[in-house]
Parts: sequence; C-alpha cells; structure tokens
Amino acid sequence: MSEPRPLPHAMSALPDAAEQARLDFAVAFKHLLGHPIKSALPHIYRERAEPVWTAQHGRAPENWQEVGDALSDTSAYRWWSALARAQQEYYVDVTSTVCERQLPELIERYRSISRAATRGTLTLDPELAIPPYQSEVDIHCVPGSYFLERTDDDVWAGARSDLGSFVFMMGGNGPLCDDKGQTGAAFLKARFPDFRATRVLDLGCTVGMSTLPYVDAYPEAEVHAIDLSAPSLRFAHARAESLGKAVHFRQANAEHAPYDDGSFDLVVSHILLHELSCGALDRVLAECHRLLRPGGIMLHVEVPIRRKDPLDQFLWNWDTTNNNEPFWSTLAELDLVEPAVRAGFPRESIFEAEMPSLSRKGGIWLGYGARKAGDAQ
Amino acid sequence: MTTITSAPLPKAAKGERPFSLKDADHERLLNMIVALTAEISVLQDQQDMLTRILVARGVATDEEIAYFQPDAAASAARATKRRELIERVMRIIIADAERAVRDEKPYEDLLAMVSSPTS
Repeated sequence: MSEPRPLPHAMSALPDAAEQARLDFAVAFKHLLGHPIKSALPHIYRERAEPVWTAQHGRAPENWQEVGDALSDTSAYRWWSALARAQQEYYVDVTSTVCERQLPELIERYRSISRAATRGTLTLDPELAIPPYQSEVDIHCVPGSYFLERTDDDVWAGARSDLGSFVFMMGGNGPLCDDKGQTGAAFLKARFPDFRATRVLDLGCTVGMSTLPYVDAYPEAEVHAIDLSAPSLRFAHARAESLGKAVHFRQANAEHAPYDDGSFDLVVSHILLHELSCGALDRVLAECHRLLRPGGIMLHVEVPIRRKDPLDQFLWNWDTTNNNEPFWSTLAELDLVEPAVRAGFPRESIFEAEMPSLSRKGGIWLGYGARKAGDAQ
Repeated sequence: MTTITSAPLPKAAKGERPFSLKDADHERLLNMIVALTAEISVLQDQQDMLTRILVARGVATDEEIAYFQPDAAASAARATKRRELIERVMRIIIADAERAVRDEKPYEDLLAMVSSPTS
C-alpha cells in the first residue's frame, strides 16, 4: 500500500524527494509504534503489570493514574513511550525544515495571493496578547509553536501546521485534512436539519482546514474564523483564497472575540478546547453564548478524549505530559455540562455526542455543544 | 525574493522534556538511532529512485533527481521496503511485544525441563 498524499494547493510546502522519504519514514514508523508495539500493551498490563501492582498494594488499580503507575513500571511501556516521543520530535523536525527551506517562496506566494484576494479578508492585530496556556509551552512539541515570526509576512508556522497535520494524522483526515470540519458540519445537518445559518464563526482555526467545510455546508452563510497566530492566519487566508473559499480571518482571542453580541448563528471550534485552561474554557463558553443569536448553536469538535476503560484513558493521556498538551487529561475528566450552564446555555440543550468520522473508518470525534435559548429557526 | 536573515529555527520546544526510559542517556541514544534509521530509509529510497531513473532514461538531471515522483507500484514497493527496514532495526522491541502476547514459558522452566531425567 502506498502512502496517502495531501491534495496540493497554492500554499503547500512541497517536500523534495529526500524530504518526502523522511516523511514516509516517520509515517511508517508511527504505524509500527501503533501495531505491534502499542497494541501489545493491554496484554502486558493484564498479564504482568496489574498482578505486580495488585500484589504490592493488596488491591487492584482503580483509576487511570493507578493503572498508569502499574504500566509505567514495565519496560514495554517505557520503550513505547520513548519511541513515541522520538517519533513526534523527528516528524516535527522534518516538517519544520521542509517549510524553512521553502519559506521565501511561500511568503511570496502569500503576498501575491492576498494582494489579489477577492473572496475573503484577513485582519491582523499585532497588539494581541498570547495567553499563558499558549505562550508558556510549545504545544505538540513544535519549537516556536504557532507564534514564531522571524521576518515580515512570516507564514512558516502556518505552512508547518498544514504539512504537519497531514503527516501527524498519517493522511487519516483526508487529502485536505478537513475531517473534523466535515464531520462537524455533517453532524449539525443531521441533528438540526432545519437550522439555517447566515453567519458562522470558527474559533482557533489555525490554517482553516476545518473552517472551509462550513463554507460548503452553509452556502448562504458568511464564514468568519479567528486564531491567536498571525503566521497561521496569513497562511489560512491564502490557502482559502487559492481553494476558492470565502472566509474572513481575524487575529483574535476566543476568550474575547471582537464581534457584537448575538452576531452569529453558529459558533464552532475544532480540537481547540484541549489547548485551553479551566478558566479559559469558562470564558470561551461564555463568549460563545454572547456571540450567538437566540436559537444559535455552538459545536466544539474534540478528540474522543473521554475513555471508559482506565487503561485506555491512561494511554490516551500520554499526550498530556509527553506531547505538551497540558490541559488534555484535565479536560478528559471535566464535567462539561455545568460550564455550559454557567455560560448561559439551557441545561436541556447541552449535548455530548460521539460523531463518526467521515474520513477514517471506525474513527470518532467528540461533539460537545449547546443551543442558546430563544426563537429557534 | 524574500531573504530570511534572522535566527535559525529553534530545535527545543518550550516545556521540560520528559524521559520515559530509566536512563535519560539511553533515550538520547534512542533518538539518535531513530534519526539514523530514518537516514538509512532515505538512502534506500534514493537508491531506488536513481536506479529507476538510470534504467528508464540512461541519464539523469539534478531536477529529475530532486523531484522524482514514484508511480503507485514503485511507491508501494518502497512502502514495503521501508516497513521491513524499520522492523529490522526495531526487531528487539517487536520481539519483546510478540513474546509478551505469546506468554512464553520462562527459560528457567525450559532448562529444568530438558535436564529432567524424565524429559
């Protein structure tokens, strides 16, 4: 089976043959870490780790922390974990250097596309403060994170995110890496078939991968998208224009977005919540409520972060300490009903649903949302 | 064309790096092995590329080498070779996983078994 390739667009960083070989290696290596190495861990846990821990403590492990304590004592887990971190750092380094090599050309392409832009807009705010949950750690172990700017009109972080997301997901999110948006839009159409939207806002849009599906899902709507990262937004703007989609991108913080009360029918986000903090989550939900018109809907598409089995939860929580995702395991256990109630949403409107992925067979996204009280269209 | 004259890309992500292995130096060595394995994979792919170009055309230009695109069959053959290389280098880890699932009898038991007069 040959490796999946992204659908190239005008802003794509294109690996040369040697760089592509490194990326293919990173993907093949990651597949191997999944199976047979990680897939053996449940067996090793049941046969070795759990009996040892139980003998030491006089009872079986009861939660993911205790299960993790038991499993972390095995050489098999430690090697898998060490290899997984090594793989993450390796693929980040390769995608970083691919985009670095092409940066001058990518900046030229951004300038020429944005000068000729006819569909959407880009509004940057150089004074925007980056909140500590984003500035204190380089999430996903990407040196420089989304905020590295070393030259005028820098798009490096956007380009790396565009290429990196595809490689990280091993192509599983589709050729345009838009599965989260596609799945979220399809979920909304099925759950709220009569819902009409004329203004849509995507929070924490990065390069707009998940934003664009809403342009197609709600063709009558004006689609807006915000993010903290200027390099991502420049890239997103040029990417959307080159793909023929009208989106209005703006550099802003989802905790206090620069739009009027009740000015959107639909507010969405994609894997944003696990990059926040407890306080920021409350503020973002309150902001969603403020931005929505009566009867408007909020939908946050998340990784299926809540696991029923403690061992599964421990393995899912690996990213918290090993992939610079500090809020991940807190969010996994957080009650999401009360924060939405505090934000003003009617309790009975709040939902958490498993949404089957449109691109990955057997894949699941978590859909969390609510509907603002008032006249439902 | 834009020129980038500022600092090189950082190599360290902000945030303390965790070490999973008991000895951090072992894990550092592991990261070198992963990178070396990747470079062997790169060489293997390049070898394949050069061979195909030479066979097909006799002469290759730099441009052809830099932007060679394997067809589906070549890409699939590469994927197989790549997987095999990784399995060779990571053999001991894969073998540990395989043994764990197999629930192999401890070696001591085997020694006892063959040394038993009734064996």
